[in-house]
Amino acid sequence: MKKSGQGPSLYYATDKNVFEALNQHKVDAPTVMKLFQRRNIIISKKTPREELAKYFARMTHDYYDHKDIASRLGVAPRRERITSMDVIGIGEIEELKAAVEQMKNELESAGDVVQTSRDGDNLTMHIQYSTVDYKRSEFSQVQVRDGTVEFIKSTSGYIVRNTQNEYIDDVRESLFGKIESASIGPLTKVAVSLFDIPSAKLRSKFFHELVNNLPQYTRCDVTDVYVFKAKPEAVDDESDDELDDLSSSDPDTHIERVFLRGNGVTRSELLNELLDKEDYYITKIGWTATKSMGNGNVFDIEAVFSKPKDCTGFSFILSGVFPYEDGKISLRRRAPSKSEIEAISLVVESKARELVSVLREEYSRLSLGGV
Amino acid sequence: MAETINIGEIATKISKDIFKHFQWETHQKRDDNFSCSNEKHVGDGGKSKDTHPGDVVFCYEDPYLGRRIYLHTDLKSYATDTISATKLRSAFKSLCMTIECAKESQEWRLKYSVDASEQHEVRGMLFIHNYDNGYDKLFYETIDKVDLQALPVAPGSILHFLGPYDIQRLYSIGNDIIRLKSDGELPNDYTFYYPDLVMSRRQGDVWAQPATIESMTGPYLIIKHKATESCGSGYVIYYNRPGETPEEFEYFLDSLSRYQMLDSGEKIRIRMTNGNAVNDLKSIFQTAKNKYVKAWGFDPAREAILNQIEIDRITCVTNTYNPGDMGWRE
Repeated sequence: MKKSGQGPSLYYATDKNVFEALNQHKVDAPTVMKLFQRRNIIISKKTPREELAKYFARMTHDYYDHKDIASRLGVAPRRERITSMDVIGIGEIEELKAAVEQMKNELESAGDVVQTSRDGDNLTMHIQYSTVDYKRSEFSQVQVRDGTVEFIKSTSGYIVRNTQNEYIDDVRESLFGKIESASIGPLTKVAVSLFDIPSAKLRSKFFHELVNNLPQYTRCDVTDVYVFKAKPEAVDDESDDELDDLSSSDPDTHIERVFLRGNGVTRSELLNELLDKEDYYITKIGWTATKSMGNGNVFDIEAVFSKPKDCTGFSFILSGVFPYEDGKISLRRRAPSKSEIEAISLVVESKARELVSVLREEYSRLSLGGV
Repeated sequence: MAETINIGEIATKISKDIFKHFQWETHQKRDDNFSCSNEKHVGDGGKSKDTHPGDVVFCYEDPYLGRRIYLHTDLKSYATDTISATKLRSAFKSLCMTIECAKESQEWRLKYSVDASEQHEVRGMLFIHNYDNGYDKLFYETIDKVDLQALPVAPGSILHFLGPYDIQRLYSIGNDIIRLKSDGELPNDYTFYYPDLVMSRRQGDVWAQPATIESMTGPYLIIKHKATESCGSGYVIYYNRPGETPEEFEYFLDSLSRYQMLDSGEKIRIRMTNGNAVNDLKSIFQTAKNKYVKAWGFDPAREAILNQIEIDRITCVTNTYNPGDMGWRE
């Protein structure tokens, strides 16, 4: 596993760090009072904060003080996207369990907290770990985060779903390594990717189809669209067709990505011009949808290829739910429930997979026809 | 009702049993009053106060501030289960007013022999012991019930308090110091240690520095000492936190490292003051050391230094400390 090679996970904060932290508005008066009370000190709420901060900073402080201050200043963790892939070649559940157990021990010896739970042939690994961001202040450098790796039995093998970030991706990959070394052959991993479909039109079509024809859901609106066109390679082929792009007149100008946000974004002329005439393609989309046979709740969904050039690293997130209350849709977005995430994950995964194979066929037809 | 004894006697006793070891001075004047100079200071009956009480005044030189701190102290004792939030609130309230006046009183300065040419600061201290049980958890629960934010503390004023548990702990530390000295493991020549900080610098001679009230109620208290015949020079650290998790110690080790105490080649002894410290204390400390060494890439030199750190519990004096009952005087 990758671990930071320098210093402990939690750094001692100097008196200056403490002073600066306590002067921030996010640290409220009761928190300051409490810090002093733990030292058997009563101060006046009328004493200027700067003076109190200076006084407290002069005292020795410990892990618990640090935690209290950090929890006031810390960064609120945001929910992360989910990515998934089909994996064929994992044998018995026992094999999987052995690999997960081994992984758990390794992670725990490095200080993570790991919980595994089994449900029939499915296995979930929940990992709590901390990351250090040295660019942040001493009180928000360390963030405790968590992530999951799920193995869900499917007809052909396993769907492996995980929180998409470097750390959990690494955990997943080393799990695969352990399974492979214990079993006979290598695993076949199929992730949603449009790498071998380099057509801008078809790449955009993937998102159009995903949004408009997601089974069991009806699209409400498309709110965010990111379009992308890779900077052309340095060596220019002969002059392409005239529509190519605006940059052909000036090789130093190239707009790589455009982000559009609003309502009915996919119907906007601006977007369609970029897609139809300029050969940009969609790499990320945010939309809202309701369940076709549901209670009217509106789901806020986002899907993205984290590597836009190759259209790999597909992931998605159910960012929130606008509940349907008293005959109208609430403006207050709430966090989704586990079952809502589960339901969306299943349809998005299977639709994305289906689209990849449909589009691949379409592309080979096109390129054959084109020859 | 237990027999109450003279306040002066108790002040003498706690000074000798506790504060002397922390190198505090005690003013010889005991149980005296000084005039109130603020007509807004009224007692519980709504009657203006004529005077403010003073049981004893302790003082020491603050190494960071470079000025003398006078702790105008109110001594209180109570029997188990008789402490209440109302009682505590009124004791704090009275002390708030006392300190507000003392800070501006020429009479007070004369009474407690304050050199007018020296920088000084007057603070309040409430010393509250439970005279029949020593250690009392109830006290701290009661403190939580007092709305400390609502107390009439004047801007810039500071109040300290020592409850039954703190008193017991400080008494045990005092005894531990005596014990270490008599075993030849601590020389008579020791000082409380204050590292240089980023925003504050320690002032004056490194040696003969007293313990500040903040260090006595903080997470740990550091003593720096010279060598004895049987023990090299180094540090004795009285550690007041529970020691329950490796993270707690890891942070502590990083603090010592920042104070440059880990690369000085000096002996480091950690003395846990919490009588209820967990059983696997040594294993937890070992885990913390392992994690810390690992985080620094297994530097063998650092590992060797960490492995020389000793950690032990102080012997808590089994008989609870009781300087005597003087009742709860309003």
